[in-house]
Amino acid sequence: MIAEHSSLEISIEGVKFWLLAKRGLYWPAQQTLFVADTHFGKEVTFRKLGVAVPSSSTQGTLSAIVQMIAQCQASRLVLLGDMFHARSSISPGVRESLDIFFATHKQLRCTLVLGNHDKGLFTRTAGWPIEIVASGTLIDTVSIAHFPQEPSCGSRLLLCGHLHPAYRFSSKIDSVGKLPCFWLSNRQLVLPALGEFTGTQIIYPSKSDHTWVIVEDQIMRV
Amino acid sequence: MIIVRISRFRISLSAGKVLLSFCVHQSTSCRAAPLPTNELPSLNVKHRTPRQIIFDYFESKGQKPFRFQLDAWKAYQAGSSGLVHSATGTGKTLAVWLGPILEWLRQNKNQDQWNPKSPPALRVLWITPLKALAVDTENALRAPLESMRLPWRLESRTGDSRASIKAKQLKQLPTALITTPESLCLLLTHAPLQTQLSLIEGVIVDEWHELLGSKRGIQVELALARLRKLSPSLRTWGLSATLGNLTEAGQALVGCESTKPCKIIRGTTKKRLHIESLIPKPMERFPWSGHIGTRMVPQVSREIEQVKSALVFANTRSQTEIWYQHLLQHRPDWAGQIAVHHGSLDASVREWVENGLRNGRLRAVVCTSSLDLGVDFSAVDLVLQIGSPKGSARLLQRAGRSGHQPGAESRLIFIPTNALELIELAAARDAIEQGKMEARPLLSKPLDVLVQHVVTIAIGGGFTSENLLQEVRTTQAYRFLTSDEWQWILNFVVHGGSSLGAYPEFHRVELDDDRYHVSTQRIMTLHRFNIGTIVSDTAMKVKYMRGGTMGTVEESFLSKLKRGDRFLFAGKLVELVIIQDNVAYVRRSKGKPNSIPRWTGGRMPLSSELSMALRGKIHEASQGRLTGPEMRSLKSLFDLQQRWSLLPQTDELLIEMIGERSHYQLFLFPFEGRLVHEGMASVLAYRLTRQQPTTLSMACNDHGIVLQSPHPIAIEKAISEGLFSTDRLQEDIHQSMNATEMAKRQFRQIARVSGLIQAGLPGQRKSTSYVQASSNLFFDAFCEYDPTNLLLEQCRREVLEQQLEWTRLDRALKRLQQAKIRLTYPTRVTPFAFSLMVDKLRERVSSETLAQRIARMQKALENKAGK
Repeated sequence: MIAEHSSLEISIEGVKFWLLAKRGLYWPAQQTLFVADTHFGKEVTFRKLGVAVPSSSTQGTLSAIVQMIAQCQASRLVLLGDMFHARSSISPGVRESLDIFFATHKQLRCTLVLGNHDKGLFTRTAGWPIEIVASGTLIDTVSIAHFPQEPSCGSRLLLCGHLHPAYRFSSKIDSVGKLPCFWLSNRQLVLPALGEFTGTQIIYPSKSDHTWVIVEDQIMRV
Repeated sequence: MIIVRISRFRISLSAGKVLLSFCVHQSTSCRAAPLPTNELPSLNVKHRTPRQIIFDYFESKGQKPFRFQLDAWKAYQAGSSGLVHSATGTGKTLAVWLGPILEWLRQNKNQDQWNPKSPPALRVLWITPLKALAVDTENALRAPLESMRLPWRLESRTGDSRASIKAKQLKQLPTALITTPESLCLLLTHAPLQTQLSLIEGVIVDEWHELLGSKRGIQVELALARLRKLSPSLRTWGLSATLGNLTEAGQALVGCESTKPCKIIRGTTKKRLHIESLIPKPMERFPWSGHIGTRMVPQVSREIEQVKSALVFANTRSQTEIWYQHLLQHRPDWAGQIAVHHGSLDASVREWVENGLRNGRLRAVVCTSSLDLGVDFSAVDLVLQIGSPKGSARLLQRAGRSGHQPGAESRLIFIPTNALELIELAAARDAIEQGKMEARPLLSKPLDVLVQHVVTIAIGGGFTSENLLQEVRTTQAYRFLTSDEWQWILNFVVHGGSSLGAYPEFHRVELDDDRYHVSTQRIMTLHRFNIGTIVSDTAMKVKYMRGGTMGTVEESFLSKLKRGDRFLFAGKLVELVIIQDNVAYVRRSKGKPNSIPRWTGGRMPLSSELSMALRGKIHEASQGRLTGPEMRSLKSLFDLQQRWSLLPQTDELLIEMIGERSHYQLFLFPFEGRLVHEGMASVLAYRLTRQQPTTLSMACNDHGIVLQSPHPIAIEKAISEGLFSTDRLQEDIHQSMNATEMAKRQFRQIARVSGLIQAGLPGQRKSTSYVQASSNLFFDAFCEYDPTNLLLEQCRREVLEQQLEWTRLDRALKRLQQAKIRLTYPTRVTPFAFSLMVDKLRERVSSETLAQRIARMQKALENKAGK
């Protein structure tokens, strides 16, 4: 089956979602947008250590979120961990970009599950209206976490990030390299990393898994 | 240039093996210089002249100095710089080493004042390209010092040196220091050393031909410019194998501001050379393609059996592993007597092998170019070359690894891995006979190396823009560096990019008034880690579970392995257990390997000189002229090629078209070498896809190109519309390059050298892990947000010059435009086309959208699954 869409409606364990080519997942029934691994301010951390990286990737990542919120009319945003890259990532410039984001999205409810890069960030997010929840927290019948793990008791599906999954697409005579993807395995749906300046990791799905790759501005089921 | 005369030419045919030997010697006098009577060793040892001391040393070894050695010493005494070139094992080392010693003897005639307890301050720097060579070099240099009882302190300083010794050296450098390009750069980051470095009288660069044309060579050029600044009367001497462009090589060594021209001194090359091919019998069953050639194992082991000690050269590291296994399977009794040697093995393993060769304990070592250099293995009496050497200079150099003693004969046996390689050998031998050695093309102003150097100098005491620019421009590589480029470099290290988009957090080099310097300890530490990273790709250590390092393998290979996958490494079959903290843990395994490590940079392209000779050979064959045993053995193959298609003459281009439903193949045979073909294939494919929307897959080898398409290709129309045109060539290359992602690959090295990717040290990896990003990410970020970044510009240039050999490509296309096109439609895959067809198709150019391609691929997969 081949499908080409900038978003794709799927149903997992009886729950309907939209997979978005901008690397987010939308749950219409909850009006909630999920994104993973934004790594805000990663380029700042690099620059502080004398590695030259152009400035704007945090801005680019944020504008992808803004566009998805507008596209879906989402009222809630869930960040599945690794919101910031490191402690040193929250520069005045990054702070300002986020200030503007929250100021222009006053109605948005924002939730964060802490990831491995977010350690010690509790105090630093204080200025922003972000609710921090524990790993495995339930939203209706779906649990959320940063790391892939068994869905929590009482839920049939886990949404998570951390892996930055990508799929290597090739046939005998052609190959298009790595493509970021959504990966459903053992009732765990791993989201692609949203951050612009983040890498990917190749995954090898088993036969019972489902994978959807992002091809430029389209979502395709593999 | 070396002039080679064939004075003996013998061909004998015996049992399918063809012997062809000839003797190479030089036209100039190779006799030792006559010893003037008044220079005879005096009985009064105390009052010998410096010259007598040197001559006594030679006499103690039963030798006399050669004329070229005397020339080199005289030139050194006159304050000149220069380059000594000759075959290995002919006394080059003493030609350059005794110059500085003579100079010191002249200044210190009174031996009563020689005091080993207070050795002279730093005088000589000896740069060796490989740290593995440092030990041998130290031994070779120490011999005359000890024999003459000189009070010099001689030490090495490389990545392998002990930390305590390094720390001691930082306080007081020895009289003579052996070091590598990287360690030399590191010395320059220590500001307090400047006073000592300003005392240097001479720098000697060993194996200059190895460094020349590489980024490490540029590192050396920049470091030499710095040393010349610190010590203006510095003499620079290089040792080199014979190259096609020695004058350029000399210029790069002495810099552009030298008032005295670089002296080029030719050493003796009186070396008898004997090259033969193992021609399989019966030839008819010998494969047309392949690069492993293990069916020749029995013959090879027979050859090894007949000699004391042999070196078996293979072209790639994985090939060495496979050959080692096969030899061992064939002769299990040789366990412990044969070994494998390549650059990825752990230093201790390599050392063990090298010692085994030195003392003659090992019967044979299967190796790569890792044993091309330096190390003197007098015990080796035969060299076997598996697969085409790809260049006549390399063939000559490798042959020279055997028969190292003066007067001994160098013997090389060539083992073809496929039929066509026999033509290459015949061509290479023609080139050697005619003395046509390859030139080593130089790099022009690579900015990544300059970024690294600028930070090095900023750490090592700081600089002002004007002064450093002037200094940098004295190097051959950067003599045409523009002020704009220089300003960009300064902005890059100070602001992290163009000054316009100043990055507030950026922090590397600081500017106070007009002085550039680094004050942060962390930046210094990271930079010092990074200096050694020009050579090493992101490599991962391979260790046994129970401890013990085997060596390193590129991360890209290991990351594709799954737990339990088996591969050959260091001559052993191992299986992957786990990858942890950048170390791959393995254990011994049984069975057969199911994956082959791929090391990058293994395959050398055919040199342009050899390509031309190859075309000449095929032309001869087309005329029915088959000279030499190799060519004659290929008679039936040539006949077949002629019958099914044709043998092109030098002014013709052969194109073969083979087509069947949804699978069309176009074979072109320019015979220009793999790199040129890669560039040519992208351009041709790009131009063809603009004619019609399609996806072309392509593959190249040293002989030709194959383009494969799901649709028929209108080649004649394309040629008449300028398929081979050089107009818009650069634009078309850039366009097609974006499609093939060559630039991204090239950017890896640039990102590493310019310090974007922090290499870190093994073990310290964790502390730097959050500044790890792949070069692809940097490449994308620059393209998106800083498209005028000069490192991107350099990347494109490097792809053009190095990956695609732009100049050669341009010349090749011009040749093809003039060539007569011979288009044939063979019904079967011809001998020439065969190896191209079985090569895996790697690169592709497409004018379809990505989604269209994936859809087409999925459909094909589903069709297959449905069947």
